[in-house]
Amino acid sequence: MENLIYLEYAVAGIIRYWLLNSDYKQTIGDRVEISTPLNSWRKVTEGAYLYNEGINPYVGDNFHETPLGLTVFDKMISHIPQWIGIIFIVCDLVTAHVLYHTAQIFMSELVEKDKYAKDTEALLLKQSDLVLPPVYVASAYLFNPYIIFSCVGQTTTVFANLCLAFTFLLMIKGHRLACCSVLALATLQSLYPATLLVPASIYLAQAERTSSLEGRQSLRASSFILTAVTFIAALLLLLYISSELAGGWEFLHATYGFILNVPDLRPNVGLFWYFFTEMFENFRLLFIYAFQINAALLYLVPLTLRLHGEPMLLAASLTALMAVFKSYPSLGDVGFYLALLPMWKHLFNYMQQGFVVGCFFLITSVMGPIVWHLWIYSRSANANFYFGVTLAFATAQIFLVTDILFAYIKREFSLYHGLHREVNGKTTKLVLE
Amino acid sequence: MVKQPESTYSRLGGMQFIEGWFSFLWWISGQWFLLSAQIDANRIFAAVAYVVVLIVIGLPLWWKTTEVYRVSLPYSRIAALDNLDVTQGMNISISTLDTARGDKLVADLNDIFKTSKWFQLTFFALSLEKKYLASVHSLEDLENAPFQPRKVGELLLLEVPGLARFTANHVLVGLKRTVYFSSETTAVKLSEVLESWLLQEKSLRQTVAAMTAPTETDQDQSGRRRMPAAEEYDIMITVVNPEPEKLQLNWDLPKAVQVYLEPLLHELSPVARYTVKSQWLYFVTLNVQPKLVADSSGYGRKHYALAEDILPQIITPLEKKLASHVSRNPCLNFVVYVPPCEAAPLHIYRRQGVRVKGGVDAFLSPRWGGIVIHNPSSLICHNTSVQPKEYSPDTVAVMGVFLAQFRLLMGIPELEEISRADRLPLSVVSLGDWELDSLLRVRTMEQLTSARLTLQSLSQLLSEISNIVINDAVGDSVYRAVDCVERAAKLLKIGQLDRAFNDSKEAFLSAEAAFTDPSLLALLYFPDDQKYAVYIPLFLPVMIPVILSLKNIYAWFSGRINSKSKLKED
Amino acid sequence: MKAVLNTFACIVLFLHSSFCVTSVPSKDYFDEELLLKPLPSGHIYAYFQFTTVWDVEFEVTSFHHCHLFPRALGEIVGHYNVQELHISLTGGLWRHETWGYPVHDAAPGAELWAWFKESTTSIDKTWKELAGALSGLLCASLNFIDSSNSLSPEFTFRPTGIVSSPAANSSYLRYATLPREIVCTENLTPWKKLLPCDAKKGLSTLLNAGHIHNTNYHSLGLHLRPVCRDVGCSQMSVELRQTVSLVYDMVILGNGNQDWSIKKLFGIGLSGACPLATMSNIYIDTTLNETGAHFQLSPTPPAIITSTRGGYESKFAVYDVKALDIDGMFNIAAFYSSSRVYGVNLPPVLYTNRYIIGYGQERGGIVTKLHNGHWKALDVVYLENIPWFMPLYLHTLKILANGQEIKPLILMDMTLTGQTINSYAYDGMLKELRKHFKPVRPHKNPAEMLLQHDKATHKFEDSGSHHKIWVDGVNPSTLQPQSSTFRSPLVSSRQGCYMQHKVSD
Repeated sequence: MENLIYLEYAVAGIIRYWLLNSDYKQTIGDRVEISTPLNSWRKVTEGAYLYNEGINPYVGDNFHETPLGLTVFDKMISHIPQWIGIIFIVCDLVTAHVLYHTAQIFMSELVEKDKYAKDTEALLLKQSDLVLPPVYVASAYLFNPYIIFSCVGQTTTVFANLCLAFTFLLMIKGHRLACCSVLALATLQSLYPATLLVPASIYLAQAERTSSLEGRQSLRASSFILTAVTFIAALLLLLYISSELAGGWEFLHATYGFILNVPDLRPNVGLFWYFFTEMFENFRLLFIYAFQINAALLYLVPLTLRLHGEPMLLAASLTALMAVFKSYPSLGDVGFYLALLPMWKHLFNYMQQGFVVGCFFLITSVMGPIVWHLWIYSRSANANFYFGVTLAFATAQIFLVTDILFAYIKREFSLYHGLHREVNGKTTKLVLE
Repeated sequence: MVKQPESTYSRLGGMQFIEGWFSFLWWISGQWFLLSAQIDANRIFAAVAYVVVLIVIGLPLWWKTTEVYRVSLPYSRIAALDNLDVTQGMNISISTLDTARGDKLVADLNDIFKTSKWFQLTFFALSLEKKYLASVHSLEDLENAPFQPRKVGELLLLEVPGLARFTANHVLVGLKRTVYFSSETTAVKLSEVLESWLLQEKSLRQTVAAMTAPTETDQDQSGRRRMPAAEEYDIMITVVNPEPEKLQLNWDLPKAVQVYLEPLLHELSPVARYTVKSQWLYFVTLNVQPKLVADSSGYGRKHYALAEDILPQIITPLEKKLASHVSRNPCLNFVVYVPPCEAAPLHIYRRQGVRVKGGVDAFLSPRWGGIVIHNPSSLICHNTSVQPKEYSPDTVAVMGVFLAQFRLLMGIPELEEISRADRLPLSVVSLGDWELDSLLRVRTMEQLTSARLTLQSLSQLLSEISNIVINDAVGDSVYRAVDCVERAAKLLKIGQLDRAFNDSKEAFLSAEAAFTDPSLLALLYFPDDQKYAVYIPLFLPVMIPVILSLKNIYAWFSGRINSKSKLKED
Repeated sequence: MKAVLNTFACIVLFLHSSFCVTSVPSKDYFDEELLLKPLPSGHIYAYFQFTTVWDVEFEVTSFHHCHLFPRALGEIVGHYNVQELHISLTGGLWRHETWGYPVHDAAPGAELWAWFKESTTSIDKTWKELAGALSGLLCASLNFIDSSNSLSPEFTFRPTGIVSSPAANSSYLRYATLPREIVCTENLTPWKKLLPCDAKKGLSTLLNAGHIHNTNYHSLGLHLRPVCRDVGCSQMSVELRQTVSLVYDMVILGNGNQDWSIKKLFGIGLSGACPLATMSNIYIDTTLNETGAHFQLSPTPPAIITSTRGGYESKFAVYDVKALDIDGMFNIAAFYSSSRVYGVNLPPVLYTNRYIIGYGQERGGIVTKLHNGHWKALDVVYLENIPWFMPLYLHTLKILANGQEIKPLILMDMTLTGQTINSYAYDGMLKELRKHFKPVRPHKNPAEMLLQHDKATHKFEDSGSHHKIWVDGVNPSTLQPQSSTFRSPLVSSRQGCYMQHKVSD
C-alpha cells in the first residue's frame, strides 16, 4: 500500500508540475470558478506590490488576505519567486498525505462499535474493508480535477485546505492545543471554519473520555469549555499578531468585512453574487443576515444534535455545507470535501441518487465555462444562464450531502433494528417522516 | 456586466423563479433532519433549534432591517394649533392736557376697539410733565423728546395744544411711535387713523384669510405686491444699455447703491437680511415696439410711447439674465433702462392715454421688482459731434424711484387718504418706526399662519403615508417649529412684537425646512407588492416544514408532560 | 400712488443735496481675438479668445457688483471661495502628432479643476456644490462630479495665476473629468451669454452652433485666475478667458476646393467689433505660406508681425477689426494658387497615444505610448484617473523605454473609496526617458506603459454605464528644458516651460 501511495504522489506531482509549466496555467488561474477575490494569486501579488511601495494594501478593494498571509507571501514573492509553484505542489501533496492518515485513523475507529442486531453481520465492517478507503481518500484528493486546477491556478485555497486537513488529523488524534491552533489559523483566513469547533470539541472530549481511567460514559462539559477557550485564545493571539504586522485594525474591514458584507459581486460558483446584484439597496442588510446565517449557523445545531455520535461525519457535512453556502466559494473547497467522502465507502450502497448527482456534476462542470464564454466574451447570453448552471451545481452538492446522510441514517437503522423489517408479520418499508 | 432586464416585473419574474428554486433547495436540505430515528428527543430538539433560528432570530431580524425609520412627532400639538390664539396685545398710551378729556378718550377708544378680533388694545392715560410741551418750538423737538416710546409695538397718542402752528391737519403721525393730535380731535378720528394707518387690521385679516382659504379670499393690494416671507432677500440692480456704441454711461453704481440703499436696508434689518448686487447688461432690447408720437418738445419733435398693457412684455427678455445660480433667496430686481438718443425720450402712457405724472417713467411688478426708464438729457442728445455720447444718469432720480418701489415690495403699506390727517415727511430717515412695527405685525401673522398650515399638512401627510422616512433632522425641525409657533403666539399676546416676530420667523423657516427635506422621499415610491414579491418565494417554502414540525414538537412535549403526570399519579 | 410720490418727493428733496456720483468704479477691459492657422495636414485651426480683465481684488464682495465680468459666473466664484477655475467642454480628440500643440489643451468630454482659497473649509463639499452650480450655468452634466471621481494631484497641476506662496498645497486643488460629456448648442448658448457683447456684436457673432460643432475638434473653455495688475505686482486683477478651439477639416468642408474664408468656416461674415472691447484682432498664421502651399489673403493684411520663439519664427497677418471701416459684412479669404500640398509633418516634442487591449468583459489592459521628439531626455509626470469599475493591478504596470524597463521615480497612489467605489489615480515621475532626435528616421520607438485591469460588475441600481468603458484622459506633463539653438519647437527664455497635454483613448 505504501508504495502505491508514493506512486500516486509522484504521478500527481508530475501532473501538477506539467500543468504549472504549460501554457494553461494562466488560463486556469484566471478562471472565475477557480479563483475568487479572496484566494486569487493575482490579488496577492498586487497586495505585496502595494505593500512594498509603501501603500496600505487594505485601503481599496484589491487585497483580502490576512496580514500574516501578506507577510509570508511577500517574502515568498520577493525571495523565492521561482519556487512558488513547487511550494503549492508540495502543500497539495502534504494535504493529501494528511488526509490519508486521517482516513486511516478513522477507519480503525469504525471497527469498534456497540452491539448490533443479530443478523447484521453482513453490514459490519471487516478488517479488509479498512485498507482501501484511505487510499481512495488520497487519490480522490490528488487526482480530483477541481483540486488540480486549484493548485495549478495558485489559489490560496491550497493553504486553507492544508490547514483544514491538519485540523481533521489533529482532531481525530486528540491533540487539543495543536488542533485549536490550526483551526484558529484556518478561521483567520476564511471565517467559516469556526463552525468546525463543534465537531473538534466533541472529538477532543471523546479522546479525553477514552484516555481517562474512570471509563465515564458521558462527555465532560469541562472539556468543551477548555477547547473553546483554547480556540478563542489562539484566534485572539493570531489577530493580535496580524494587527501588529498590519499596523492597525483596518485589515479587519478588508478581510472579515469583505467576507461578511460581500461588496464585490464578481460571479463565482456561489449563490451570493446574483442575489446581491439584483436586490434593492434597502434590503441589503436583511439579505446579508439571511445568507450568512444560512451559511454558518442554521444547520450547525440540528446537525450536531443529530450527529453528535459521529463527529467526523458532522465535520465533513459542515465542510460541505460551507463550500456550498459561503460567500466566495471556489472549486478548491468543493474538491476538499469530495475527497473526504471515500471514508464512508460503506455507505455508498445505500445512496440512491449517485447517478443523478454524478451527472449533475459532470454537466455543470462542462456547461459552466461554456456559458461563461457566451456571456462574457460572445455577449449572447446573460447572467441568468451562468447562475442557472451554478445553482444546479449547488443543488447537486446538496443532493450529495443529503444522500450521504440518508444513507448513514438508513444503515444505522438497519444495524439497530435488523435487516429484516417485519412488524406484526408484514413487510415494512422505511419511511421518512 | 449583468444585463438589465426590460422592466421591473420581468426582473421580478425571473428572480421569483430563481428564488423558488433556491428555496426548494433549502427545503430539501432542511428535510433530512426530520427523520425517524431511535433518538426521539434529539430529533425534536433539532427541529426546535431550526424553529428557534428561523422564527425567534429570523423574524425580529427581518422586522428590524426592513423597518422605516420614523421619529415620533407631536401630532396632537400640531392639530391643536388650529385653536391657537393669535391676537396681538398692544399698549397705547394717551396723553392729554386735561385728564378728564384723556379719560374720556381712553374710554371711547376702548369701546371702539373692543370688538377687534385681531388686536387686544389697552388704552391708558399717561400724564406727561408739562415742561415737555411748554418748550416746544417745532415738531422736531417733540420727535427728539425722551418720552417717545422705544419699545417695539407701542404707541403714544399725544395731544399737542396749538398743533395748528405746525400743520393744518388735526392728526399728524410722527416719524417714531407718536401720533400728535390737536385739541379738537375726536376719538372717532383718532380711531380712524389708528385702524387705517397704524394697525392695518384689514390687511392683516385679509392676509390670513387668503392663506387659510385661498380659493375664497384674495390678498389685498398691499399683500399682492409684498414679497413672500424669507430670511434673506437679494436685491439686484441692473443697468440696461441697449446700444453702448451710441451711448456710453458713466455711473459708479456700487457707490450709488451704498449711499442711497444701505441706510434703508439697515433700518429694515430687523425684518430680514439683504444682499445687494448690481450688474450691467448690454445689447438687451425691449422686445416691444414703442409708438412714435409727434409733439413739440422732445429731441427732434417727437417722443416714443409705451402703452401700459405691454409693459409686462418688457420683463421677459430680461429674465434670462437675472437668475442666480447660487442663491435661493427671493430676489427684488430693479432695472434701469437707458434708451439711446435715437429712441429717446421714451415715456409710459397709462390706460387712459395719459402720460404718467411726475415725470418719472417707472413701473412696479408685484413680487418681482421695478423698472425705471431713464431718458438721456436733451443736452446730451443734441450734441451731435461726439460719438458715442457720454451720459451720467441722474442717480438721485433713479435711486429715489427704487427706494419707493422697494418700500412697496417689502410690504410697507401705502396710506389711504384721511381728511385732516397727515404724516410727518421723511427727511433723514427713510422709514418711520411705526411703519416698521406694522410691517413686523403683518409679517408675524403671515409667518405664523404659514408655519401652522405647513405643519398641519405635513403631519397629515406623514400620518397617512407610512412609507415616508422621518429622520432626526426633520423631527427636530418639526419640534422647533411647533415650539416657536406656540411661543410666538404667547409673545404676541403680551405685546412683545420683536421677539414674537423672530420666533415666528424661526417657526416659518423650520416648518419649510421640514416640509421640503429631500430625505422624506427616500422610500416613498417603493411599492409594497415588490416587498412581498421578494420575501415570499424566499422564505415561505422554508417556513412550511418548520410550521409543520411545530405540530410534532407540541405533540411530543405534551406527550412527555402527560407521561410525567401519569407517573406522578401512579 | 399719491403716497408713493409723496415719499419719493421727500426722498428726492433730501437726496438732492448729496453729491452726484459720476466716476466709474473699478476698471475692466475686454479683448477679443481670433487666430486662424492652416495646419500642414490640410486642417484649419481656429482659436477664439475673449479676455476680460477686472482690476479688483479677489474677494467675495467684489463679485457683487459686476460690469463687463459676467455676474452669473462672478456669483459662483465668490460664493464658493474659488481662487482659480478651469472648465472645458470638448468634443473630439486633438491629434498632437499631426496638428502640433493647441493654445489650450483639453481632454475630451468635460474637464474641471479648481484651486480653492486657503480660507476654505470642507473643500469636498464646496467642490461638489461648485460643480452643481457650474452644471446649471453651462447646461452640462457636471453635477456627476463628486468626491468619488475627483482627485487632488500633487505633481501635475500648478496654479497658473498669482499665489501667496510658492509652495502650492495640492489639498486645495480638485480635478475631475467626465469623458462621456457631449458638447453641443446647449452648452454654447449659455457660454456665449457670459460674454459682455453676448452673441450680438463682435467676434462672438461668428460662433454659430451649426458650423462650430461640425468640426473634428471643438472645445469651449473658461479659465479664471488672478493676475498682476502691473509690473510690480502690487495689486491683483481678475482675468477671465473664454476660449473656443476648433479644427476644421478643409478637405471635407471645402468640397475639393482648397480656398477658405471666414464665411466658409463660420457661415457668416463679421459685421464689426464689439463696442465694449478694447482690442479686437484677427490673426492669420502665414508661416506655412512660405514652406507649404502658398495662399493669398484677401483683403491684404494691414500688418504682418513676426514672432520668434526659441529660434522658431512665425509670421502672423494681423487685422484690427476696430480700425477697419466695415460696410456690410467683412470677410477674410485665403486663395491658393497651386494644388494641395501636404506639408512635412514634424511631430511636436511630446505626444501620446493610448489604447485599450484585451477582449471580452472580464479583463483588459490599457497601453499608453509616449513619444519623445526632443534631442534630450525628458522627465514626464503622468496623471491618470481610472474609474471604480476597472479595478487595476498596479503590479502589472510595466514601463518600457528603448526596450528596457524603467521604474517610476515616485508612485503616488491615491485611492478614493466609497464602499465599493474606488478609483486609482497616480502621479508618477518617470525619469530618464532617453530618446534621440533624428529628423530623418520616421519611426521612433515610443515608451510604452502597460497596465492591466479587471472589469467589475455593476449593481442593479447603478446608472447604466456598463456597456462601454470610458476612461478619462491622461495628463502627461513635462518640464521643457531651455531652448537651444537647434530647431526645437518650443518656447522660453526661462529655465523650463511647463507644458501639459491631454490625451484620451
